Amino acid sequence: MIAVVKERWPLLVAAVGTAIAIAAAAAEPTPPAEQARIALPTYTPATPSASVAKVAVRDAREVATRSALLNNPERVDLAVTLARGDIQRSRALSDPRYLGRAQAELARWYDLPDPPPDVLLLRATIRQSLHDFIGSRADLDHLLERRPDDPQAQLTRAVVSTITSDFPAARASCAAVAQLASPMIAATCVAPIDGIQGHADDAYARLSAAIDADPTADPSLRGWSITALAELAEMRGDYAKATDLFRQVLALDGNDAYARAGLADLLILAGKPAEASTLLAGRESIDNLLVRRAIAEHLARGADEAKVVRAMQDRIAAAAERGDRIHMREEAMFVLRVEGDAVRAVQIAKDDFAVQKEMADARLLASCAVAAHDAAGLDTVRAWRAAAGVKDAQLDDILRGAP
Amino acid sequence: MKRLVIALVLVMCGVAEAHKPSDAHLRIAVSGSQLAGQISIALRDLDGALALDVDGNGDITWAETTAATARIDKYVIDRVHLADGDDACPIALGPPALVDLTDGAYWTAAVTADCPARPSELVVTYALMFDIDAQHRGIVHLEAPGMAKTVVVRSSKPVSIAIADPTAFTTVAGAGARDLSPWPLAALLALLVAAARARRTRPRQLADIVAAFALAELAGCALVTAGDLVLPWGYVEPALAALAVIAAGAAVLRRSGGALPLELGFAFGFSLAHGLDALALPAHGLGTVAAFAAGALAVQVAAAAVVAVLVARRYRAPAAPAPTTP
Repeated sequence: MIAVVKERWPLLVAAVGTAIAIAAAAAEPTPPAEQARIALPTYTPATPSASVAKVAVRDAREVATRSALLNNPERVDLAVTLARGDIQRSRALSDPRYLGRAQAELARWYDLPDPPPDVLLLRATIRQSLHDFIGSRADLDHLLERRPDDPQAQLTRAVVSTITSDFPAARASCAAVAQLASPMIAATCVAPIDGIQGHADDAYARLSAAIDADPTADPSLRGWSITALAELAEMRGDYAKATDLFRQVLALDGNDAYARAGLADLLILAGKPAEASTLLAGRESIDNLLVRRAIAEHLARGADEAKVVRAMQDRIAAAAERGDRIHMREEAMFVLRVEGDAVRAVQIAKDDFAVQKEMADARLLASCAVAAHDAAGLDTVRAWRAAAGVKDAQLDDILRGAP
Repeated sequence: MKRLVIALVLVMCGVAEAHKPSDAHLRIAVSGSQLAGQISIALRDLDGALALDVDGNGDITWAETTAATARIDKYVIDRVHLADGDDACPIALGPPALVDLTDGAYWTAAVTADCPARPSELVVTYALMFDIDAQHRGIVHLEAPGMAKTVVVRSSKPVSIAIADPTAFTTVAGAGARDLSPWPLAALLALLVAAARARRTRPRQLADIVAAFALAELAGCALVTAGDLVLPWGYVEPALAALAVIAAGAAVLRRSGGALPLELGFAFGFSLAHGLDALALPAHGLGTVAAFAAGALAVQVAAAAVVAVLVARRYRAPAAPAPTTP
């Protein structure tokens, strides 16, 4: 056939023949499945009495209600009672699992276009927590057509409207709340709106007076009002007062993660990252606090830096694995201040700002945009600031450094 | 006022978000007809479904967890199903253990399942927790030779995941074409150039060289693969690279050596075998070797054809001298 093959055919035949013979003889069995390759590392506790997880303490009334609902699945009042309890539990334990439980308890009515009013209110609350602000607002508007004097609905609507920068709607709801609740609650409702819209000084004076005039208010209400006052002080650039007020809130309730995060931000801003890290140590199960501890340890070059940075990276990866993007604010903070990737951070901050527009979101987007020299990001914040008439000491400082 | 305190709690519940909502992880590796892996479910979720915390004190102990093993196993077996299309792959669970994920401890157990045949479409029915937690997600991670896929399951509706046959002819041939090492190609092209410079440039002669090289390469690859030889690749690769350089040198020095294609081809069969081995296919017979070699050889022959045309033009064999007229 071919000259070369003619010359070397014995070798070729031998090689191909041997190969075919061996291949035919060695029809390999399938190797055993490799469980170890894919499995996560496991362990078993050394003693049977070892505590392996914490859950809510069993509540006999809740168990009885659950059992009653099982026997009467059409009883919306029982489902609402259970769902309300789980939403409160999600807040008390900082565990979003209980929101999913509340939603499941309401499942029979949850997807109806016109569910019973109490279900509508809880659905709006769950949607707000899942950052579905549009869905939440629609539920609240729908509910208020039927129950205009519902203070819970008005208060929730004020919060959701403020987050989405619909200030006229937020003010209307606060005006309704003022007819239904104490002056302190009314002043607290309107405080963030006044603050964002450039009236922080007046709002501070009014809210401060309202808090002083109501010394016997429920501690949780008082904590909420003082938190709003601290945020007004922060907007005015009075960081010492804001720090003092957040400490007062923590004295009322040491488990108030929102106030603790606010205080940690101020300590970091004041160049005291080690103090901030100590404030947050041991509370890393909450993302808001873990991200701040990672930033504080990073800035302070603390002993736990590697551990908490790794934990935050794992937390972000775990959320991404679920396909969730509700912690964009924390993620952008982390990417900017720990990973130092301003370009990626500004993209995340833009996505976050498209969903929620609180003062913290605006400051974050501005910081990322300045670091990344991102003109579009800066334009977005400036346009929002001009439209809402915002006056904020930190935002002004950040934008002063912008091109 | 009491009512408003409740309102406040509801309004503020979004402000201190801890970690993520509930999910569970089903990790499965496919190897032939066998499936093996691990299922991990948060203890807090299992408590919601099965009340692990028997004394209700808010503290789940390992003793309470192991006491519930039969109930947990039944819960999982009743609600997680694997199938190859319509054919069920019944699952079995190993002993319980724990795994720590970002949001705490998870109960975990090894999962094994046998399908009637190698699944081409794995149907996962996952119905844990959805009835008690509407935000629960089942994160199914599937690995098979040549593929890894993660699917987030949001309801108890069955989910189908196609598993390509990693030993299918076109798949393996495509891998062969993509994974081709540069050294055999360099050696073959050097042979062609050398032959051309030695004035043996008739198309038939160039085709002979390519055919001999390719056949010998196939033989070398088949021999190594079928014999399941593990070559010390750290030494073999530099040796093959040296061979390619020598072949190129021979081409430059016009010392082609007419018999080189077979020997060189056979040696570079080792390179092909290494590429095939790197695919980590579950099993390989002669068909797989042929498919991989077909892909690799197709690229080599195509490149050789282009070079052959170019060198044939550059080093055209001298025409027979025209008869001179006396």
